[in-house]
Amino acid sequence: MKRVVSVMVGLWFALYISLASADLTIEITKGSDQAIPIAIVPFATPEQGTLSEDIAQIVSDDLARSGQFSPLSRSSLIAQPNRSEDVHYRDWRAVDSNYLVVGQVTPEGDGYRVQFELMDIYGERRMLGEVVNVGRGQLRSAAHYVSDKVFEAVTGTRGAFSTRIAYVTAQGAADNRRYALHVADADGHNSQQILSSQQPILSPAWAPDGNKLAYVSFESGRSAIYIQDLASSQRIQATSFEGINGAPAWSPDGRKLAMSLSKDGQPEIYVMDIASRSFRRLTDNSAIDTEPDWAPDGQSLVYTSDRSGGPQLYRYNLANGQAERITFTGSYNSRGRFSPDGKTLFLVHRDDQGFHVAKKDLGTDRLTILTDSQWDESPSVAPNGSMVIFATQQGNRGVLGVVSADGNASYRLPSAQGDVREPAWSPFMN
Amino acid sequence: MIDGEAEAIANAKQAAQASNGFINLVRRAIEQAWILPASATNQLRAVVRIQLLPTGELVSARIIESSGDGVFDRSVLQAVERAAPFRELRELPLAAQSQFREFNLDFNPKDVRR
Amino acid sequence: MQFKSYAKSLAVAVSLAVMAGCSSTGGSQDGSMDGTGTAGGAAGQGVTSGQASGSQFGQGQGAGQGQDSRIPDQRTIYFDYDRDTIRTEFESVLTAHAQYLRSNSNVSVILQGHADERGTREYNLGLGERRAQSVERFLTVQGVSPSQLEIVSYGEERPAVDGHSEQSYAQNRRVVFDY
Repeated sequence: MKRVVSVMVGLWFALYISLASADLTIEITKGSDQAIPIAIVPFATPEQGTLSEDIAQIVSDDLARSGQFSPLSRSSLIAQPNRSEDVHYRDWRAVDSNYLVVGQVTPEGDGYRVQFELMDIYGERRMLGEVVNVGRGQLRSAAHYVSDKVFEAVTGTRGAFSTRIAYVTAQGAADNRRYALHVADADGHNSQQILSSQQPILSPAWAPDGNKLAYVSFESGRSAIYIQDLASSQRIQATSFEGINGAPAWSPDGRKLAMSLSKDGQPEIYVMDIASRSFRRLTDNSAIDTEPDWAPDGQSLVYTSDRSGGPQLYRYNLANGQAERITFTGSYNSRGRFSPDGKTLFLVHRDDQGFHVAKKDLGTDRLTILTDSQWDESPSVAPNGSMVIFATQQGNRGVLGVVSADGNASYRLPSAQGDVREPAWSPFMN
Repeated sequence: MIDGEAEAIANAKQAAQASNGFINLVRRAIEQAWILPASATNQLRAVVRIQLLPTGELVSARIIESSGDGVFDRSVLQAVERAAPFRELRELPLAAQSQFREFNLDFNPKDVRR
Repeated sequence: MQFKSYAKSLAVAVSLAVMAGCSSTGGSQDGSMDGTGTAGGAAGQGVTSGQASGSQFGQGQGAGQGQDSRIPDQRTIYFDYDRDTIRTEFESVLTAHAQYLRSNSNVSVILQGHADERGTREYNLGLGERRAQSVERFLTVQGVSPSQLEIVSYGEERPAVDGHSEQSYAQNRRVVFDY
């Protein structure tokens, strides 16, 4: 008995020692997926209220829309510093902010000098300090630039706030519709109409250099694919075969266009060499083959085919000419779009509730539905892979929505332009 | 003699229980404060060494084993700073307190599904 | 359920044949057109579809005598969801167009294929084309020269009717004869 007791004391003592030793380690295996709190102080301006744009507000809106940040409201800003020298880190700990952005705008030459700094509150460290010079009308661009830099410094992922989107609008009733192709900033501002027609326009696709758009227009009375230079507005007609000329998709090197042509009877996938205008036919069957998209490495394409009965995604290997079906969940999977790292496909998936944007992990094959309204389609991925823009319906009108790649955050882009559809997110512009 | 040993067992047991309670409390507080970076995967792991005052206030937190990912390392340090202080340290039996003046946190996300 | 609706349309078709037999004075073609108009309503394929056919009913009768020199009045036929098969009640419409085109070999027509809004746009271009091709096959089997026919699929891009109801969809899944 006594021996047993001694052993037990010994055991407790051993535990005691191990606790007391310098190597006590607590394992943390879980975290929270809440958004990162960040304080963005209104930028100092030369004369209060004279600037046409509120840079801090634009940055705050950009970061909030990404779903990864939770900017503090202006009323909870505990101080209004404009330079890191004036920052008291303790103040910002008190309001539970992990990061702080401060800055100032001063007139310089014909435009402005925008200075900004980013601080890690708990690390009590300035992470970023930069100056950008912009023209008079470019304050929004400057703000998006600040958002890009802050996003990258904090998350490690390049920001995509300075990118653009293309989209199509339709206005008017059945017999009197007008279609138009627009290009705007990624947040929907600064929209410009680049084409208008009484016949349908669809499937805009950005060239990898961000300077050109390919699209389908019915302005000649039938479908044709055009390539338009955005700066000069000059364009060429790439194809106008009998039947469908649809779904243009640029190769990553910008030299080829994959597309769907039905000139031989039913829609097949072709690759057109833009310079030589030569074609390579990839598919040959009696099904609808359409909506091609290139893998980022240019070695394969994904496309929609209903050869199995309903639309499903297939992947075509350009080296060996083999195609394999890659979607099996559900009876409708179409319009696949690769993530920039090529590891994920975003697509349209139908379930009992309707059509949703979903993503398929190409490694694990898992399919995750990202959006929950009934009419979600046309997903297009931001060049940093963090967000997906898509077309949806709101109050019987087509609108654009954006959802984060993890599905946790989403928002709608405001529009006053009738029915909005067919969004395409540009590549990085700089 | 037996009484003395019984008392020793009781004390040791109590100290151990109190210590376990404190460990759980620290773990919970940090898990709540740790905002997992969107880029985090379950391949990443970092160990932080922390020092506390007897009051439970944080003296220092430093990475002793880096994940190799700056964003991940910063997120774990911010988590410790956000979770501190750990004032319950003062309520531990004196003998137990001393073990928590300095210890390690092993950030090893297992439930990340990305 | 499916069998039932099939049986119903069969019954409609039979009654149409009877009606055609009774009312026709200027040939079976005329009668069939009348019948088609009635069938659209009787089969319950969307309110407007029935109305549209109804309005053509009278015109169809008036046009009876000159059927080969005038473009048939009903220039739109409708399809079931995700289908390109010609519905029985529209066969007579196609036959009328075939006859017209045969008699007027210098005339050509664009067969516009349309889909409802469900599904992705480019895929729906394919569905619209399939419907137009199905009409094209029907016409060529009836002796129409392929050179008189051109297909343009608009997919879901030019709906006849806005709205997300099954009624709207039924009117948008169509092939239009565009002379």
